[in-house]
Amino acid sequence: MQGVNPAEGLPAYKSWSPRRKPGIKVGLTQHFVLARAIEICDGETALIDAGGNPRLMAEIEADPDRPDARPIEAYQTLLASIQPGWTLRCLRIFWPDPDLRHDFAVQIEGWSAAESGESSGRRLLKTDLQLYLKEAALPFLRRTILEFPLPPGEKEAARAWWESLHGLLQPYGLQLRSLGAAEIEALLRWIHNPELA
Amino acid sequence: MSRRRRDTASPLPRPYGIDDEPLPQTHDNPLIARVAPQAVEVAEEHLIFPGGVMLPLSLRASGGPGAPGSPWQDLSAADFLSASPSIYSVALQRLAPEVLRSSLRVRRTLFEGALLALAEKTGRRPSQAEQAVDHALDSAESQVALGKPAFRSVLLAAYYAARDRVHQAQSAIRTLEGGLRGRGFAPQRLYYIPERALLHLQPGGDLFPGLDESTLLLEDAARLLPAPSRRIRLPDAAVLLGSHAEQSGDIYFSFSEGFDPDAPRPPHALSLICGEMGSGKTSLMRLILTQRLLQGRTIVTLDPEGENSRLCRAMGGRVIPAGAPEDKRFCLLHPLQAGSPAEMLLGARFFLAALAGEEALTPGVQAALHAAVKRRWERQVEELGERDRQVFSISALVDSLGALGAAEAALPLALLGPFARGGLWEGFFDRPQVLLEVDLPAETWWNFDLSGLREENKAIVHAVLAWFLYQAVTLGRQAMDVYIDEGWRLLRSRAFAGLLDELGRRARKRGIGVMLITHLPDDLRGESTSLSLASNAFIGRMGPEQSFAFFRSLGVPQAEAEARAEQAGRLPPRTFLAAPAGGRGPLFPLTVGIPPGWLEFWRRCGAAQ
Repeated sequence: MQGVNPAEGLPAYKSWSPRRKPGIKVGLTQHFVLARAIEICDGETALIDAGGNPRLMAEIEADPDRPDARPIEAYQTLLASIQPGWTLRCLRIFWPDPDLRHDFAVQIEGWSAAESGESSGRRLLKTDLQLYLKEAALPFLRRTILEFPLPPGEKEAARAWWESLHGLLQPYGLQLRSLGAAEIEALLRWIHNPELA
Repeated sequence: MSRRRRDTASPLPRPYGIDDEPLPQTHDNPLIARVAPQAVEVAEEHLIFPGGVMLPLSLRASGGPGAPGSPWQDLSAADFLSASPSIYSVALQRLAPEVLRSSLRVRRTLFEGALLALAEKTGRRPSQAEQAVDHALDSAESQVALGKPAFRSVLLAAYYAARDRVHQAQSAIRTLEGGLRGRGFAPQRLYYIPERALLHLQPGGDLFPGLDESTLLLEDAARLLPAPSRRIRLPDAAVLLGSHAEQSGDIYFSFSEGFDPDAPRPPHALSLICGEMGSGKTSLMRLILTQRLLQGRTIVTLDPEGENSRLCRAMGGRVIPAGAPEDKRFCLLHPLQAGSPAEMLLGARFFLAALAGEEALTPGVQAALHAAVKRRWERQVEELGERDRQVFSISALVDSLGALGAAEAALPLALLGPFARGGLWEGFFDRPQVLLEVDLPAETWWNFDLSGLREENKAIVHAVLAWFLYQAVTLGRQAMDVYIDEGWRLLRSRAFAGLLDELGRRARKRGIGVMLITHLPDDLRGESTSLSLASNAFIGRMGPEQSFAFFRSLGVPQAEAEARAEQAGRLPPRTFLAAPAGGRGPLFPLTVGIPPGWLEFWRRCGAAQ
């Protein structure tokens, strides 16, 4: 592992009671961030958590060539293979997905019939549709993320298990793709700065 | 299940500002400074970010692992989907078998001891429910002893909305809470500790942040992991339908590629919209056809109520009446227009069958028709020369039949006579100019207004439409979309039932989209045609029994069909369950999105309320 900086320390843990009085308080999101760094651990990108332990992250996707995905069976196999004491977290997160809408907007531009009508009616309808697309709520897709904290003392076995997951999920029509540093950072940023406007 | 008491002393980072400490502008950790540059407001039960609001929800339930009737056995990640964007997290830590076994044994011993003590002191025998719990504890202990995995778990969902649309997330969370309570869970809002959701949900976060925890066996835990989705490309010639009611993503559709170009191709280019009156079927149809018209497609609509006539005219289209045109120069159709004598004979036979039924086509009648067509063709070619397509009038065929002098020609003569020139119904087929050409011009909308249909004309008008559509699909060079509103009426017509099957098989090859709109899907299921295998179906609000039967006819598995049928009975207007690729893809809810300007335009044209 490279570049762990224990001097950065943990978040400012203090004796703060969750039973505080209700009322809106303003703070900065950065004081809720528990991750310390993103580093390369034995060739794998890992997020370093508040305790200095690396966490491996990957995205699960449905195999586009396998419409017969069987996620429940895949997850049963996955969970049955976890060793006692190990922890795994699965996140389903909404993620901005403007590409599809952008592609559609490009298609609309090419709708020639809207321009060739005798009256301006069709052109107005086309403009209305374009305006509607611009003003509609941002479209989102769902991403499924696996997060696996490497258990201290069992890192070799845990890494071997993590690397086996791709082959383990494939027969069920699921694909596992490890997240790179930029993707992990984007994920962290999105959760701390959701943008729905 | 083990329920941990909330650890109020658990270490949590304290937001700045709460104790009026100064707010630092940047963090000395560059990663933190990059990923969290903004402010947050910590409210009573939610967090407010500059770009939106987050409302978290956790849950707990009574009952141990494997207990009979445990609500966990009926819960899955899909239950947390809603129209509001959300983050859903489930953290699982596999428990050592001996730890759980000891815990289960202790619990069972205590439970059995209590039952025994009750029996000894009061003579009360354990109830069936108590016996079932005891049995479940025993069973769970045995399963764990045999190596069945069990997990310590924390589940948290957070719903998001733009700051000016908080009610959407509130509504989503209230709906979810109601559903969870109905299943035996106690939903937990994070009052006074909403920041724990952020601490938990972030990558690298606190996986067990002192929220309610449960112990789950393998099957229950696996169901809580969310199924992955797939990125979808935009289909060719797509139209926008609206948004996914559970994912917030846009939904696009194309007749040739369905909803997803990478999924198996639809078996036909036939699509179906069904649902009760007021479910929004016609609005969805208009949304699709308007976009297709703007794309440059030729549109043909069959409009039994004449609801689209004004809209059609306003968009530069033509309205075809359900009867002889008032303009004496025009008739509806030239049914005997043909490229060969065989084609002409086919037209004549179809026409007679539509008038008098298949039984009228006796061998003698067919022989007479054959002779008359052959004679007429040869004479016309002699007079006018070879052409790509010859147009024969009904009168000419009547003349040829009369010239045969055969007894078998009497029936076709009697049937065709009123439609020949000078007959009472010449306006249908025997005027010099014609409204319906096989090759319709591009980029136009042709609306067949059937509101004026009279009982005595019904058979012949249906025959005209069926013949025209058949010709346009099989011979026409212009690719088109055909929309059949109130399709149940036409499906009960003999001429149409067979035609739709023909359309279904040919439409895809010829780039033609066919959409049938009906509130009676039973009519479809009764047909042994390809329509009963409609490629893509949109099911609006409909009775559960009817929708269940329809889903099953599409091949949807029984359990999903039951669940979706119940959902179909509660769908609000303009929300549909989409069944892709003839039921081979999973059903999903679709909220139809119509540009407000279009709605206003439709209203002005009397085509929307």
